[in-house]
Amino acid sequence: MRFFNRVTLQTPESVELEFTLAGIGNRAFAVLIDYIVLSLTLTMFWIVWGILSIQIVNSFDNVNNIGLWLLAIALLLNFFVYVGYFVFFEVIWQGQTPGKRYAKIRVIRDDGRRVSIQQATLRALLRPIDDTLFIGAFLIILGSREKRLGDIVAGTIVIQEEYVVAALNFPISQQAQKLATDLPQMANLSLLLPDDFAAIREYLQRRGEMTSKARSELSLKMARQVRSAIDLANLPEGLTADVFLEAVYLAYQQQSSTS
Amino acid sequence: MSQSSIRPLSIGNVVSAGLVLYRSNLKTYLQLAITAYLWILLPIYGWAKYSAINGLISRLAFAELINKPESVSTARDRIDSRLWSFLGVGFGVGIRLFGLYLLLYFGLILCLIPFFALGGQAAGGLIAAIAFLVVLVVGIIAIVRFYSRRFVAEIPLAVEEGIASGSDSIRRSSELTKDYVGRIQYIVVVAFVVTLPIQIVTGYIPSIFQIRTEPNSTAYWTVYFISLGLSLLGGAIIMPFWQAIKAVIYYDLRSRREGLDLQLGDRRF
Repeated sequence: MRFFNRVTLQTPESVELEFTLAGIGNRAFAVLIDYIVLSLTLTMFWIVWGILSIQIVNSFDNVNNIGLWLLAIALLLNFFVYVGYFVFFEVIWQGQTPGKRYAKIRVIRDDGRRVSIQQATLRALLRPIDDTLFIGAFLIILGSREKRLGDIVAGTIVIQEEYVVAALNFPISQQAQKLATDLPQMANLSLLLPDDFAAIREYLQRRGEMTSKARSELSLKMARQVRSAIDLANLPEGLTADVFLEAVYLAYQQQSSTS
Repeated sequence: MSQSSIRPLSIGNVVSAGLVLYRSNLKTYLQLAITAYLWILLPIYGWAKYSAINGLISRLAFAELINKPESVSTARDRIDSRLWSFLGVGFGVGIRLFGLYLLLYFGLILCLIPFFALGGQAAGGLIAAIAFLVVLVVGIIAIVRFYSRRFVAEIPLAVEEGIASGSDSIRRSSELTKDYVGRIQYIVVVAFVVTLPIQIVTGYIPSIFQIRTEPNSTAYWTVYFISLGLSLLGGAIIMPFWQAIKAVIYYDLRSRREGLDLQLGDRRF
């Protein structure tokens, strides 16, 4: 879809990889989740630290300004937790924090390699400027490679994880399976384009979520179009559009795996 | 081969797509939005015009999404023929929302009854407090859910041929958003975060200046009018973004529930 920026990287081995950039929506979503998790963690830290401080101040009241020292240490630890959260996760999970994992995006280097601790640290250190003054958001929205200050300095980009075509799990009826074995003789399946096959598969995968009225209309329409596309003259009796599409899907799959 | 043209959008992608739509038609949408915010100063007729322009922007955005872009004048003709229905959508949703608020208000008052019935004793107070909290939380969730389901209420009116009245549009949008409420809420939150910089500059900072001046001095009124102008400007800048997001949500709903993207992919078909 032309709505999402695609970018082509050249790896050190001169291989070209194409990715889709994450986009401001996904990145805002990810950073929101990250800040929520971070706030909860830091709140717990401050509560624990507060309880501890009271105990320490009471037992060491001969030491000068111990309260101030404890506060200073707490602020420093706060900063380390803030930076450390992002660095830790981006290194351990190869470019993903919990928020990025949920939004299905990932940080990688400009040449396609995984981020190491240097990039992660640089990005995290520039984050306070990027996030509080919204400079990062502006740079992401306006830039061609959607780099915020941290990305520019560290030489990284943030991409969407590609859709993994995993095992599809829609039910296929017996009737369709039977028909699928007969179809190659009855029609010319090679006239079906891969794009059409993809459309049929998407329909079969998603039909459960559709309203029944729309589903029957769509399946009928697709079935008619497929039928004329593959030159099928006679349809067997009592065939629903859904079963027909399942059969075509199976037959095409079998044909392309054997040929 | 990229198959992203026939797949439902994720939450972040809805927001990104809305922004891309806005950016690529910045001048058109912004002009329309500024016109809308000038109309809003005129009662009744102006409000109808304001609602209609909202629908117009969404219609233009949706037309781009399905790769059949429309010119502003064509779209405007279609929209203007249903001018008062747009106001009707706004009122329809608004009145129902108001009714829900009233219900919540009465429910909260009912909660206070045990406290008084038991003559102000602690037990009555405790029951009242718990009931109050429960009713408040349930009420807020119900209202947020209600509004989320009607978030795209005016879009069917703007886009579909067969829908001509406000209540038809509301009904159609409720039907489409049945299992989608959670997603809409996430999308609204993320989109709001994206608009934060502009909101802060044009909305919240002027209010801060407002607080620091004394009422009824000339400084107060100049600050007041400047901040009013700024927040109107901010509203005009942000409005097309929200309308584009609604169009993308509507497109995504049609794709998931009715396979709209599968029908559009009929290149050779």
